[in-house]
Amino acid sequence: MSDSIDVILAQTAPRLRATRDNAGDLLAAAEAARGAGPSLLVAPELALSGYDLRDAAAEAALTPEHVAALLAPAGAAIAGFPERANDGALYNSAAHVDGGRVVAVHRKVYLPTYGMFDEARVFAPGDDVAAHDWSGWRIGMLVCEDYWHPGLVYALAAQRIELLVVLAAAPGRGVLEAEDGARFASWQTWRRMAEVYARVLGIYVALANRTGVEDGVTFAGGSFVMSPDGRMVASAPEGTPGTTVARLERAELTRARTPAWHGRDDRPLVVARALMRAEGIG
Amino acid sequence: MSRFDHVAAVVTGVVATAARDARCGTLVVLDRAPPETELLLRLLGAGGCELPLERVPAADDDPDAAAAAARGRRGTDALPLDPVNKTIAVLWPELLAAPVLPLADLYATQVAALGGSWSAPAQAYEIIERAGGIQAVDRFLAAHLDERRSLDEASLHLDARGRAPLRERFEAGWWWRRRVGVVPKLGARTLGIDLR
Repeated sequence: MSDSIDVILAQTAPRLRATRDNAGDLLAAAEAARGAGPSLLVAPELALSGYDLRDAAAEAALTPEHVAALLAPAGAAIAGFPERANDGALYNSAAHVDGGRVVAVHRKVYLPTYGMFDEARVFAPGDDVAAHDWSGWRIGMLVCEDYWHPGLVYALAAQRIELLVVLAAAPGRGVLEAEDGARFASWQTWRRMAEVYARVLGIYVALANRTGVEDGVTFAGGSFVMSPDGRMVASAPEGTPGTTVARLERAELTRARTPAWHGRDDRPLVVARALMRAEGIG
Repeated sequence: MSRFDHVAAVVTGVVATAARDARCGTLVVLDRAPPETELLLRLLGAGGCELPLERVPAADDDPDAAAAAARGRRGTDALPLDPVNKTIAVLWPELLAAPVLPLADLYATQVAALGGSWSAPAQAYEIIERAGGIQAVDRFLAAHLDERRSLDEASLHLDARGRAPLRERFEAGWWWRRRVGVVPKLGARTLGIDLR
């Protein structure tokens, strides 16, 4: 068990279909930022392939084992990739890999298919969220739109996660409306949500958002780590690639959860019963 | 960084990426009128664009000829940019000539706020004036497109005597708006991305 880990936020600008180059960017980020203790590289959604793949998703798809092999020199990493499942379906997935082996995989549950997004045309939806353990830390993974569904965050918190890792490819919007020196008004909402999630659930939130451009869309960047008491531990600039390191301390979790940890008092079965009733079950 | 710098970073990033992906080494600006062209040049400068850039005079009624001439002279190395503003791009989309429209997510009044003034093709001024002027027209467009108010409700921002011709212009552009080029996303709804 590690009392502290370094989260390395790799805020890259993936190029469409350039898997080797994109993996190279992640390995370079890991190499540049690695310290003496345990570290976890966190890369954006579809970091290995680029975002707007459309029909190219099929040829860009990888298995989790491929991802583990590609990122083996990075040590431990969580990265987004288009996953080819055994039955042929494609998923927008996050893989936690460590030294060439697969630790855990999350398949994006909520595929935005509205406005500027068209993900359900390409990917199948995942149907589960499960916490996993690594280096003594309990971790939950979500991909982008999943984060906008508090039920998934709560489901992971009910599994006693200590660190929520979110991989995003969130476009920047609202350049003319942004305040306080921010580049994109839209990104301010993501930060506010993390503050609430972290503080209410007593968890670290590490969010890696990509940057770069695909056609007319500029991805916002602005990756960050939020502490369990809702403070910004580290943040990357909006709009430019870069690597940001944040140290996560178990003592901070304990401190934030003392004296009032809502998670301790939580009663997930009360919620579960209400949800089943809302769905007409039982 | 100022708001101008943020806009410059986004516009330059999209233009530079388009040039990279299209394998073009030269930018060709279709120069319809000074305000938008000058603003684009300032934005690209502030955004650190390092690509060589050429200005080509473009007539309002035939910008395709300017784009074709530029590519004819420079071959496939030239990436044409049409610095039309969003007001014109939405209402007169059949006049758009280039694969990249760097300012087409900025309404004319926003172009004026960033660059001092705005322009429109000759045939547009009378329709805009009869509808109550550029402020009213942009308010109408923003209400309908960005705030998603109905056309009838948004039209209340327009002068009654010029309402019908402007709405007809808006309706006539629907087919063309589905075929525009790359527009840097700055606002809520952007041509070619989430506005058609």
